[in-house]
Amino acid sequence: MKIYPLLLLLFLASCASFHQDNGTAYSSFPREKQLYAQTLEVDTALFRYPFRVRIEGDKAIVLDLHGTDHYCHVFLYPEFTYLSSFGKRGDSPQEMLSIENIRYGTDGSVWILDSNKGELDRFVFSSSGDSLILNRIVALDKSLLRALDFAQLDESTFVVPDYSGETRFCKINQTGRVVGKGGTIPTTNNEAYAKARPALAQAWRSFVDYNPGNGVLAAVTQLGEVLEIYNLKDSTHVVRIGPNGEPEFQIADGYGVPTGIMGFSDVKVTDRAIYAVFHGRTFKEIAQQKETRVDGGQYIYVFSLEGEPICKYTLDRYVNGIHVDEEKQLITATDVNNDQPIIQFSFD
Amino acid sequence: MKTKVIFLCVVICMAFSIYSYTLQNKESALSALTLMNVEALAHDEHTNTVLCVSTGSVDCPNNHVKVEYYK
Repeated sequence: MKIYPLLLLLFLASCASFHQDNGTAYSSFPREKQLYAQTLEVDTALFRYPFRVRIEGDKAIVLDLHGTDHYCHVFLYPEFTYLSSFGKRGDSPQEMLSIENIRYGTDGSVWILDSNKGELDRFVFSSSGDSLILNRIVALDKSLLRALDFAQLDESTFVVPDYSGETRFCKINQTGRVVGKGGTIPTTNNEAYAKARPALAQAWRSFVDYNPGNGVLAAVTQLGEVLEIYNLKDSTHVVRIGPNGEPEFQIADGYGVPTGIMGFSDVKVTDRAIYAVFHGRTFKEIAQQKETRVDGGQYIYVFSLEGEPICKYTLDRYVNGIHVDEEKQLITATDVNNDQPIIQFSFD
Repeated sequence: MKTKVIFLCVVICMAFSIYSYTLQNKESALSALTLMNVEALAHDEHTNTVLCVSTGSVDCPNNHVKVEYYK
């Protein structure tokens, strides 16, 4: 009789060692629609690779991932009249080596992530409201290794995907220190999980977005087709895996080398839904492109806040970053393939 | 009988010690491998074994420049 408590203990211990939540697959969307772009004329030829667009009030900020002089450009919205540039490229203390993403802060400030310097920088609008001034530099905890995206959870906390693979996300405070870690990579590749976690984390590089209104944090993988939804209000976690599966890679000298498809390039959590830009082209196809090279996703997938597929929009352009205005039913997007890279789509 | 019990206890203790030692060694081996990989990601001095191509949004592990793809 005394053996039963021991067996129960062993059973519980074996359950506790399971790390992955393999998620639910989706294969199609109940609704599909074609969207046609309207070009917003920008009178200045500023961009090399416009990757993100953020809009708040009457200001739009565009992040140029490969900007020559500055990485970020401010425009008057909705006219898209150029106002100023910030995030000067360079290696002096107040300049940026790279910028991964930009976010409006909860207090109207603007945060940028320089992963190569390991910094989060806070900018504030000048009194004229036309330009941005560097206000604070936050050196990130060295234990983060490499922060490739971020979202602001509240006034004092940010979340970044964990590039070490030890966990899924790290929470950092406004001094850059890691104050919490959580989650696991929901992979079925147990061998890589056990023996090559950093390469796995590299392949599972994800873009994130958080909506403080509904507490939904969404992450989409740059490789493969995985959407993760963390509802921080009710502590639920949903994993949705599309037909292209989880990120595919092979390990070469500790690195995770992509072998499957280019997946998502941006995600936006609104009050009602989750919008994600999807590419869906194999790296083999990308490598075989010749004269007419295209970069970006031709699809915007819409999921409910619980992860149910709602709609698949097929675009007449290839886009990378999006801003979604549900009230005006407008999606503003960046198209790196065009001399006029700022476009808008009306949707319903 | 008493000697047998003591002998059995000693054998169990030895078996447990060997098991714990093996487990510890396995963990440190994994930890060393992980650390090695972490260093590979964190430092640029690592030998470049991947070829990064063109301009894009994929993080090249050699120099952390954004490229179209690497192989």
